[in-house]
Amino acid sequence: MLFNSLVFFVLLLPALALYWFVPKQPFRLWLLLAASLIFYGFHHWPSVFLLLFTIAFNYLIGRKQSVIHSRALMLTSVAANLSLLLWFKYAAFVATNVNALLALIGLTLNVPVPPVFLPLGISFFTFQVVAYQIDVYRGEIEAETSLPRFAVFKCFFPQLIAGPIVRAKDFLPQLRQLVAFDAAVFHQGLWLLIAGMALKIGVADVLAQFADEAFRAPGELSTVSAWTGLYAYAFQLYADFWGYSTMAVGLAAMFGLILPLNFDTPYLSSSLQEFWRRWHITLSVWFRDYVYIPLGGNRGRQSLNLILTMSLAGLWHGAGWPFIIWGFAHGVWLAVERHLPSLPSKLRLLKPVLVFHGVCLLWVLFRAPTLAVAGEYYSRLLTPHSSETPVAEVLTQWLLAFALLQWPIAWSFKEQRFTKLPLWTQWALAIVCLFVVLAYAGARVDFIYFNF
Amino acid sequence: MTGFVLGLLVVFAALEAVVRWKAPLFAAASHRALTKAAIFDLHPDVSVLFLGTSRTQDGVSPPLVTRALKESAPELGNLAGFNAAFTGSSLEALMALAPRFYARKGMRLVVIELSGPQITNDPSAWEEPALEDKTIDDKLARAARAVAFIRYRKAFIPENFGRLIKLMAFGSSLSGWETRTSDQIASWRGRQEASAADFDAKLWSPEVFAPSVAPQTLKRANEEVCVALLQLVQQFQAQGVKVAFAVPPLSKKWKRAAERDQLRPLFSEIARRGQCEVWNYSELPLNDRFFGNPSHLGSVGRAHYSAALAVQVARILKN
Repeated sequence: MLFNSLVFFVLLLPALALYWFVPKQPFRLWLLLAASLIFYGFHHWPSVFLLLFTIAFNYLIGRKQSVIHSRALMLTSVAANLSLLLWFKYAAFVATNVNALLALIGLTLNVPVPPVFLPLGISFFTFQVVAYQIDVYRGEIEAETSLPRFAVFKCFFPQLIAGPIVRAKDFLPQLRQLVAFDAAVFHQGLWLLIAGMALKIGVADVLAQFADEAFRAPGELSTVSAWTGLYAYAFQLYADFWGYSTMAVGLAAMFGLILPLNFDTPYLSSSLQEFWRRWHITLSVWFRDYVYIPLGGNRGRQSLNLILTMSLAGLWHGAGWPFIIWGFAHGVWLAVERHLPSLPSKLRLLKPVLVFHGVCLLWVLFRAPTLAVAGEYYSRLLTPHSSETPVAEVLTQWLLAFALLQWPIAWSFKEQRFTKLPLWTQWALAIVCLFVVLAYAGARVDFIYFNF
Repeated sequence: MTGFVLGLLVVFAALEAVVRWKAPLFAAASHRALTKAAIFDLHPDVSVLFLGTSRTQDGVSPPLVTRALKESAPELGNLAGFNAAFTGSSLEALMALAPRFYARKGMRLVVIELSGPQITNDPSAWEEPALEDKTIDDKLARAARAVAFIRYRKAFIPENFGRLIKLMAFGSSLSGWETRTSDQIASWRGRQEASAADFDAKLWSPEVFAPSVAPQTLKRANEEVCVALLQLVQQFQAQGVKVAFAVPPLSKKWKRAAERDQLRPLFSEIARRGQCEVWNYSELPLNDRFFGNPSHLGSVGRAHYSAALAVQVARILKN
């Protein structure tokens, strides 16, 4: 079930009503669990069994860990969770590459390529639970004793399939207490839900048409069209994932639960390091805490640690060489960036522009289905080509509008700022967003990060 | 929070009321073809109708045609015109919209554009696609269409919304050629366009394909187009409306010159089988000053083309 589907909203309203009208925490936990399983099962019901299995497995391992405090047990649980991810997400990729590699040296082993089926959100809920197991082992949190509470932490529907990746120490305590209805939190949540929908339906889905067209046949693009197509994709990706994350945070707030914001105007960053502190923040923090720092972090082989961490982040995004190269390139850039001299103060304003364009150039690898298509796209971007077909005026208008509006939109998402605006401003903003949703609803384009 | 939610509910209740009240206009705003048809509905007296693509939309000013007719053929009376051409018009769109035009009483002549784009443009749907009720979401979507502002939600796409505002504000004062807001305001204020001061009737005299032309063999694609257009001709003729086809002027710079050659047999066959004339203006040796771009007339060209069409319209209506 998608957040932008009608059936979701039809089921959400009674769930919200029941949640707030029955002030019993056990009831609320079971309600959230049931809602989460229905939400998850709606897309592919057999996946619910996988989810239930991982809930039971990790709950039991966590309980055991709190008693015996075993590094081996922690490693086993992490390996078990990652092996599920490896099987569903990477087995086909590994088998295909092994076969190709063997063919190169003249061997035909024909490693069977398993059918590709990716349970929705497996990358996200695996990372969330891996963090839980490590945190329990490190003693940073107590293992959760209540199964329904742990289950809700593991599969809370607003963030189950595309994050934000929630830390147990932040989320579990909220599930332990009976949350009283707070009108301001609900109000802000409602705004985040409306604005997130507008970002997804009114910006991402509209730009998707232009980005898809550009990447469909890059060989036909002029240089200008290639760049505008790339800008369209850069903003589509941003609005899509930002919209989803914002809706997730808003929905959680409507249930009185606070989730972290996942984006903070990343395209205005002055360095790549800053970009990663503002783009998909919860994933960046996860990689920092559970990969980069354990690898040694800023000590010793810092550059190597960065490249390795970002290559793994690339692989997390997708089982394919373009993703790995994308991550590797980000790692190299981060490593090099630390040694670059700073720009003269007069040129400081150029930095966000340079960083944005660098990030855009690497998005080609992210979007192109194959390296060959990426190469073709780069040739159109970086060498002059002309075409009789002009760039659609509406695309330019849309890109400019979104580029300018991203900062005030992000501003309103923080610290219940929206609720403090004058009432007429709130109405105006909400009405504009709802009109945008109304006008463009219907495309039902999947959220991009569902694929990751 | 209560004020916020109540405010939104009030706004949407008011919106629902407005959309239900002005439902035809909201429906019309969802597509430029429907917008044109809706503006046409706001004009009760139309004697001469122009149909076609943006080439005709930009190129024909009905008030100028009317003025020229008044001067050259006052015996025909006051012949109000309307330009129902629109950007991206297709054969399918013409066929679909025709009943909204030919049923109008008092209509005497329809001039239909014959050009490459008019017969090859892809059809563009203006109705919401039918839902198959396969999923719960489909069923919910169907149920949601009972709400007027959801049913006509396409009117809220910025481009369409602008059209809706113009339709509501200026609809009855537009004669169909005004695509720019400044022109729409000028028409609304009653300002008249200047006639072609130095109109050269000889220069603007089209090549006429009369019903008596020799038969031609058509390629399969053109044969299908011909059959469809003849159906359209018959529908108008059955209502007592005369039909003529006009091929709009093209600049010498127009690159797709082959468009002209490929269509010539079609011009002949339509004239012959439809018993109507085809006026070919596309090969006139016209100066660049008449054109906004190689395939579209500018304001000067519009004044001259309108005057030229008036000459042919008068001739046809006098017969």
